[in-house]
Parts: sequence; C-alpha cells; structure tokens
Amino acid sequence: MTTSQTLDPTGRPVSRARARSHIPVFPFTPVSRHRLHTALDSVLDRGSGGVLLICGAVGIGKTVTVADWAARQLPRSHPDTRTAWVTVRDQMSLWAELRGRLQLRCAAGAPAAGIGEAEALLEALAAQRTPTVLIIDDAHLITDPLALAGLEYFLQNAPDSVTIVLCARFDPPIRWHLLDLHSRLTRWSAPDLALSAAEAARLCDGHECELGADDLATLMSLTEGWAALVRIAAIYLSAHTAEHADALAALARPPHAFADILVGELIDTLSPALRQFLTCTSIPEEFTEQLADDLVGGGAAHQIYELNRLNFPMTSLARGGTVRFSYHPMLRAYFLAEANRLGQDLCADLRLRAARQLMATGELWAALRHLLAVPDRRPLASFLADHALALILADHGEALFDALAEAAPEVLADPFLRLLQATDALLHGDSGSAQAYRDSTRLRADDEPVSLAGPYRLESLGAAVDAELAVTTGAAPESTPLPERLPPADRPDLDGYLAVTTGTVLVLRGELARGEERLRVALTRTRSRCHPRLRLIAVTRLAVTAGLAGSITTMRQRAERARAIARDHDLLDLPEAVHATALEAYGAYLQGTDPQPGRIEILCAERIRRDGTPGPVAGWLPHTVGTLLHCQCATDRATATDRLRRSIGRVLDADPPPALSGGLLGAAVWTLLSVNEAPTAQRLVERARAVLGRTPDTVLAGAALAAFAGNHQAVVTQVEPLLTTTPAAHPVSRLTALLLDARAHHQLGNDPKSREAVEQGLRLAATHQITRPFFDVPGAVELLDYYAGCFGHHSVFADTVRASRHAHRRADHPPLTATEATILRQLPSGRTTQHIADDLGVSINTVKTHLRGIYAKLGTSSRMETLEAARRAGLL
Amino acid sequence: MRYQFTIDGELSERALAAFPELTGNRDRGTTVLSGPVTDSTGVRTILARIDNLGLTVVEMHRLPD
Repeated sequence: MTTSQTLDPTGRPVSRARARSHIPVFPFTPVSRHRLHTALDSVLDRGSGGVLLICGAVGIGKTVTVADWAARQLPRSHPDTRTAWVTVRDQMSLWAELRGRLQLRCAAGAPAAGIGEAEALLEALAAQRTPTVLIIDDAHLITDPLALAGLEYFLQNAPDSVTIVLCARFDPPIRWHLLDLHSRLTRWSAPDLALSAAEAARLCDGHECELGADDLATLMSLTEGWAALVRIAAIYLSAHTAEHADALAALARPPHAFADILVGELIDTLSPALRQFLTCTSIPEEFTEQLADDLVGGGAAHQIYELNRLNFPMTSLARGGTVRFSYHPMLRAYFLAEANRLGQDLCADLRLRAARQLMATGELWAALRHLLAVPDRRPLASFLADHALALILADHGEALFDALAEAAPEVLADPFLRLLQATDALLHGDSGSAQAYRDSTRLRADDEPVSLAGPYRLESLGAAVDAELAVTTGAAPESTPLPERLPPADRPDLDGYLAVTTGTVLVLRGELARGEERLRVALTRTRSRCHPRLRLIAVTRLAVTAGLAGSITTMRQRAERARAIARDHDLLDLPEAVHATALEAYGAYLQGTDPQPGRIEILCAERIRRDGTPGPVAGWLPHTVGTLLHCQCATDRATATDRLRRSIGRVLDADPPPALSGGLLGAAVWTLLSVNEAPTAQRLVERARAVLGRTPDTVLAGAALAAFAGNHQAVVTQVEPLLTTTPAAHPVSRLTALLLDARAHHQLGNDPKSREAVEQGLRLAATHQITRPFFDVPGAVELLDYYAGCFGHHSVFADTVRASRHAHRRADHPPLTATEATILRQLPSGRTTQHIADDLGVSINTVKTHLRGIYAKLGTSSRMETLEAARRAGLL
Repeated sequence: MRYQFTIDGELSERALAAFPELTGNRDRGTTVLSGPVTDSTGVRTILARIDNLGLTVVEMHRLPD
C-alpha cells in the first residue's frame, strides 16, 4: 500500500490546525492521564505566571503527557488560552521560533542575543495580555550561556497571563531558587509521571495484550511505570500472546539492564526486513518516506504501514508540506547501535545516502552532520566546495567552523576554508579577522597550493574576498585586481557573491555604469538556486549605486525592494536589511519626508557582537543615519544631537573610515549648527579634515561653518571650486554648494549672481526631488521667498519646499493673529476692502482694523509693500 | 583523557555496540565501559547516549593516563 503524503501514518488526515500549532502528533493514542491533566490545569489556574519544570529520563512520558493535555484537554478546560509549542533543536533560534509560534512581530530589528531577545518577546507578550501557555520541549538542549541567561530572564519576568511548561531530561542550569522564592515553580520528576498499574493495564490493552494481575504486578516492578518501557513491553508481549508469564519471566532475568534486554527482545521479535528498515532509517534524526526509500532501497511505504500496524512508537510531524517520521529516542539509540554492529562501511554508506538525499532537498545543515561522521573526507570536501558558502550566507558560519574544528580539524587548514572564514567575518562586519584569514591563505598558498575546492573556486572566492575587503576597509579600491570577465554561472552562490563584491568595488571606484551592470548580472544570477541573502545584498548595493549617481528616488525604491526581499525571506535581522533601511531612511531625509519612528529604532538598535562588546547591528553608518533622524523628531534635541555627534565620531574613528561616510558629515554638521553648537561642529569638521583629507564633503562642511558665522566672502571662495569641477559633484553636495553660494552673494549685495545660483539649485533639486539642503543652508528658504513666483515651471517645486514644515524662517516680525492671516491671504486677489469684508461676513471697519495690525507688524504702509514683505517672510 | 563509566546491569552485545569507541566489561551485575574521550563535550555525548539507551550510570571517573 502507499501512504499518501498528507496522511499521517494512522491514516487520519493531519489536521491543519494541529500542524500549525506544532504540538507533536503521535501514531498511537496516548493513554488518557486524568490525574496529570488536572494537575496541569491547576498550574494554569493559579494565574501567577506559573512555571512547571518536568524532568525525567528519556521515555518517561514527558512529551506525550504534555502534548496530549495541550491538544485535547486544554482547549476544553481553558478555551480562550492559546498554546505555543517549541521543541528545542537549535538553541540560538529559540526566541525567533517562539515569536513565530505566537505570531508576534519583533518591532526593534535585531535585539541583543539572549536577554535582549527574551526582553523583546516579553514586551510583546505583556502588551497582549492573552492567557498563553508556552511549552518548551527538550529544554535540556539549551546549554549556551547566553541562551540560558535569556531563558532565566524570561522565566523570572514572565507576565501573569503566561504559563510556561518546560520538559527536559535534566534541569537547565539556571537559578531555579529565585523562581521558587516567589512560589511560581512546580517540579515534576519521574515518580510523578510514572504510569499507575491501571494506566499501564490500559496501555497494554491498547496493544491488544491483556495481562493478569500477577503479570501486571511483575511488569510494574520491572518498569517502575516508565512509559516507554511499558509500551515496548506491551509490543513485545503482544508478539508472545500465548505465554505472557513466561515472556515476562524471561525479561526479568537479572542482572541485565532492563531497558537493554527489553529492547533486545523486542528487536528479536521483528521480522528481518523490518529490523533492516529500522536500522537504516535510524541514521537520520527524522526521515521522510522518500529518504527512507533511498536508505533501504525502496518499499518504505509498506514498512511504515507495518510499523503502524504494530503501534510502533514513531512520531510523525508535518512540516513544510511533507510528513517526517522519527523514532522514540530510546529505540533510535538501540537501532543506531544495531547499525554500528553492521560494520563501519555500511554505516558510512548509509550516512552518505542520507546526506545526498538531504542535500537534494536543501537541508544542508542536516547533510553536513552525516558527512562529518563519515571517515572518508572526500564527500565532505566536495560538499564544502559546493555548499559551504550557502551555509555561511544562512548565518551558520560559526556553527559550521565549530563543527569542523571538532570533527575534521585538518580540513580547516585548507586555503578554501580560510577564505570561507574570511567571508564569514566580512558578513559579520569584522574586517580585521577577515584580513588575517586572507593573509594566512596567501602565506599558505606557496606551501600548499592544492585545495579541496580546486583552483577555479579558490581563485573566484579569493577575488570576491579581496573585493569585499577593499569595500569594507575603503582601502584604495583602485589597487584591487578584479577579474576582467565574470565566469559562467555554474556555481550559483559563489558566482553571485563574486559578481556582487566586484560590482561594489567598481561602484566605489567611481565606475558607476560598469558597477551597476555587474550588480545587475549578480541580481540575475542570484534569482534562482541561490541564497536569498545574496539577492538582498545585490539590491542593497544597487541602491547605493543609485544614491552615488544622485538618483535619490531610485535609491529609495531599490532600498524598499531590498527590504521587501528581506521581509519575504525572514532576513530582517541581517545587517544588509539594516543597510537597506538606512538607505531608504536617508533618502527620505534628503527628500524631506518625515522619518518613520519604527525605522529609527531599527537603525539605532544595538546588539552584543562576537567579541562581547555591544555595538550597532550593522556598523556605525546606519547608526549615524538613525541618530540623525532621531534629531529631527526628538523633543530633547540636545541629547539627540549629542548622540549624533558621538555616532559620527565613531564613524570617523574607524581606521580607515568606511566609504560613504562623507555624505553624513555634512548632515551632522548642519544638525549641530541648527542647535547652536558651532564650536562642536567646528571640532567635528577639523577631525573630518584630518581623517578624510580635502574632499568635497569636508570643504562644504567648512563652508557651512563660515556661512553660520556670517563670513560670506569666505563662503564664496570655498564653494567656488566645487561648482566648477568636472565631473560635477554629487547632486546633494552641488545643491548645498549652490545654495551657500546664492546666500553669500545675496548678503554681499550681488543679486544677479545670487538669483542665478538659486535657479540652478532649484533645477537640480527638482530633478532629484531633493529638499533637505534648502532647510539646512541658513537663509535658503528666505531666498526662495524672496524670488517667489519667478521660477517658471519650477515654481511648483519651489512652493512645496516653501510650504514644508521643515522650512524654518527666522521671523523678524511679531506673529500675526489667525484673523490677520486670513485677511492677508485675501490681499493678492486685488479685491476692495468692502469685498473682503462681505466675503468674511464682517464689517468693513473690522477689516480695516486688522489691516492696520498687519501693516504695523510687518512694518509696511501700503498694500503693495505688505504683499512684498509677506511673500519674503513666507506668509504667502 | 581516559574515562570509565560503570552502568547498572550487564549489557548485551547489542547495547555495547552503541559505544564502539569504548571497551565494555561485564562484571557481577554491572558493566564497565572505558576508553579515550577527547574533551568534556565527548564525555557529555557518551552520557547522552547512555541516557538515550535508558541505562543508569552508577559511577563515572577519569582514569590516570
């Protein structure tokens, strides 16, 4: 018979709701354990954030009891309580999984690992107040100090509405007594979970094995109510229907370890084919029908059906559209031992087959575990050559190198692996280590030119690492040798990475067109069969290219696209997603759009880095953008600008400073000047000059200081060279320079030059929709007011700039009242005072009184003069 | 590093096959497993395996090199 993929082995359709809640489904019907269910309910009823810790050896019935309660009893006894079940597999992703199960979104980007993650989850939970039961199964697998600290924090600070059930083989080492102090902790151990004689009898009945009172007593004394053993004994006894007493007597032979002898007897009762099937399929932790077919050479569906018929303890879980089977851990341990008895060669062969099948389904991490256990290193080498980069992109780099160091340390010395380590360090923003790994590859290249990946891959990855190093360190991209032509795309990840990194180098060199072309190639190559992170990186860098070319609108669109990719593939926590957010936010800032508070949080978020110190998630540049935006909307502007000053200071501290840091310098200086921090701004500009040298950005920053100090002649002299250089400076710099120039000429009384510069600037600004420099350069908006109405078809853009709420004018007249403003707006229509009075439904004398008020406040004496003055002050 | 684990009960060949890196000796109701272990992770792996097999550790100690 064939088992349909959507059916669980008992033939019941796998319920969608059950699959989504991740509560394990068992092929057998668990014995109903009323006593324990009531006890579990009472933990919940206490409603004081209770924690239940269930500890016991494997097979004692922890998971079965809690899963049965959560699936059947809980919806009846507490219908409005929601349940989240997490089985710990990867302790690092515990919090992300919990968030996913509870369908909570994390607001603040990537919180710090451990406590930070627990804190973020607690905040989200506290905001909801829905009664919730969290079940963490296999909690003993949490061993990492950070993860443990997070768990402890979570348990201690859980809100009253949340009840937590932990199942573990032994206590996770955290300070349980602190919970005990508040009487929130309940502990259950083996005796609490042991089956009573009646329950054991019912379990045996379920296996069509009826026991007399004596036999039952013997069974209980042998198994001590240990659920797995009772079940195994029941399967064994049902195979010896006639002579239960004899069979039990055979089991009770001292001095054997009971579990050992019982499982041994059970294995002996199975048919050789079934035994073979179990032995082969115990190699992977869990298997699909297809994988089983591959391991045993066909016929898996029938064997799975047979096992089902025997009520064999096998768990099935639907995940990602396929049903995965796994054995009870105790049985798996015995069948693994059976596999060992078959000999090393056969074992290795089984592992290789499992690995091949897992690679085909994209489960690289699981495949690697099998390859590491095979003594022959060749399959491992070819796996690393093909897939290691994908694992690193999936942020498994650290785990990969740890696993290799433990199981195959000699492989780590390979030059290709060194380059992979450099890649991993680069993805984590650690260019120092990356450089060290790269150098060690070069040193070893002479002694050991052969690599497991072959010269072709080695060369490509080497070129990619060199390019990326040049990008992150900003070290003379001109001198980086680039492969002239890209190799054909037969190794998706590696070729995609090579195209992305070399494209970026070209962009930073200033060859925008070639760089963009190469990044587009990268994008096409990463579209299929490639890790989505590479696509995210490619689009983010295309956004940078657009920004450098001056198309701020395109930059924002591409950055939004990158964010969408990150959202679709759940990559929002990665540094590249934060970079995309920063680009979008900076584009919005330049175009005068209001910042989104959520984005600022993402940009300013900090986390614990690999060396243990806290730092921004994605380097200091996005952090600076975040603090810059914060200055725009913060109520306490002094503190906000101080944070900005420190953040840009860290950017300049980096040795060498990252590429692209110049643009932010100007923004920081203007922000400091806007809160009258001229001396601080002065010091910042001096630092920047020392670090960056004489670049358009530092020159402009100097001119800004001069403009602020009212030194107009100096502004003209400093800005002049920027306006005449070819190729033209970046549009934002050029616009700022033009406005500074216009303002200085205006103050010096040179109106024609001033007007020409304003018009040029406006043209440039309208093309790229850039507004920020108008608000930064003092007096720029006043200049627009002054020439209002004389800008031809750019008038509309000029008016939007003048109407923006960022456009602060230095008001040198007393504020008008609301009525005065209304009447002022009626003046340009040219109607008589009587007409205005009729329109507003007031007397002509009232209008005259208000007009006198307006004249007095603006210091004018006629309608014409008033109109002129009002326009200049931005009132019209 | 060499370690020695004493386990309750005399283990069958089948269970001993789960510890290919250790040598097992059955001795009056207990089984003594001994052999080289690389580091503390190795010790924990063996303990986890004993746990998985549903066996009881009576005693465990490090042997002099």
